[in-house]
Amino acid sequence: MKTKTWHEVACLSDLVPDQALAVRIGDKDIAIANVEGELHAFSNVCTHAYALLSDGFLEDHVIVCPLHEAEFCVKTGKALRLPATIDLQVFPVRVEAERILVAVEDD
Amino acid sequence: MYLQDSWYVAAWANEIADKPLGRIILGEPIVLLRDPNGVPHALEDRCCHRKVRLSGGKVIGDRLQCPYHGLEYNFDGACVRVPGQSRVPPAATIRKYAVVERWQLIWIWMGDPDKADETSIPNWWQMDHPEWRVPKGNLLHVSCNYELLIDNLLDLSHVTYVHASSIGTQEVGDVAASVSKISDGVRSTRWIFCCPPAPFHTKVAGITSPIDRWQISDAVVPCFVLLDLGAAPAGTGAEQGDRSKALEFRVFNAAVPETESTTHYFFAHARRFQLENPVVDKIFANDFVNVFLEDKAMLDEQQRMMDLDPGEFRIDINADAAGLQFRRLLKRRIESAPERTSVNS
Repeated sequence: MKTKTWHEVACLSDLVPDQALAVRIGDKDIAIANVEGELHAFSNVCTHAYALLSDGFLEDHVIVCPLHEAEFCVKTGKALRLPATIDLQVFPVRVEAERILVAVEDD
Repeated sequence: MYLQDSWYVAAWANEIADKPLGRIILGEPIVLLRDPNGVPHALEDRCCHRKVRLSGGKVIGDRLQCPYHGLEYNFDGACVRVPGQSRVPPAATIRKYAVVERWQLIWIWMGDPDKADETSIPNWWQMDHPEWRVPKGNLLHVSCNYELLIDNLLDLSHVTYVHASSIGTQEVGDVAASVSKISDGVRSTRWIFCCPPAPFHTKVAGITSPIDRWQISDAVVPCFVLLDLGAAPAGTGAEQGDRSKALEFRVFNAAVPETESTTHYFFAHARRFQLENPVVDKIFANDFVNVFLEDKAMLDEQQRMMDLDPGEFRIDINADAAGLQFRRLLKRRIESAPERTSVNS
């Protein structure tokens, strides 16, 4: 089983309402969403046509892809609406002293 | 399918004087004219007798006369004289459209005239304001579907490639725009910081040092796009709202459908700097028209290529987000509009 490492990716103050925040860890594009104070981290690349979900709209716990309106649950990564059929990968996320950390598997 | 219950631009006000003007809008032939008091009117451009265009005829006092057999109509669309007989058939009527003259333009409501709501005409106040200068109104006939033109105005990354000799620099295409929703439309915003000026900036205002540059494109259904464009010396706070040192202007655009594959493209530039300078007037009137002709060439070709290979676009890129969102919004508005009764009823 691969080990995971926590990476500091952003500050709490970087988050804006109604949008997910784009961050990168290595070559992974990851998005962070704030849902009623709880943070969630998920792959920022739409599984349909590879647009960046951080360019789309965050509505409660649902992220809407800007290109074709595919929808995903930011808590579980589940694809909720066509044209997406493949779920997003999700990542553990935590906050330490205003800083946001995300855990990814080591390469 | 078009959004019928909406205002569209029919003409520049100065296109309509003593002769009637015929134009096809949303696939419907329209005749525009002025009455003896200078008030504009719009009617169906089709004689109810043998269907020829009334715009080929004459305005005689408060009547429009058909050029073929001389039937005369009043400006409510009723035939009031048939040569060679005293009685006019009561059903001899043509459709009347509501029009308003505003912002140097003639606006036409393409739905039932009783539903025409003047408050929903776009607020293009800079077209008629002492602090802004509008040197010229332009009309280009473009051989493309109007939605392609709106795509072009919402995704200004093309400026780098299509307009490299005038307003394009490498940064415009390289920096991603962000998309947001606005009332009845979609906004695309791009800020580029500390970049070289484009040839246009140097020509118009002698700028040679680095600039902060913005492009904010607001598309409102069915076919109106307002561009808010400008450049300020780098680091002088333009993004925070300080435009006091900036060179800024607006471009007003109406991509009015003529048919499914042709568009009447109305556009005008309004600027807030060097209002009295005729050289700058000329640059906007000439150089910018050349910019739009570059777009027309690309759009005409795009439509030709699409006609050879009809069907959906296969690949969308991030830069298409604003255009795709606008198309979906417009489609939903059209689909949720009430069923239209026949034009001839």
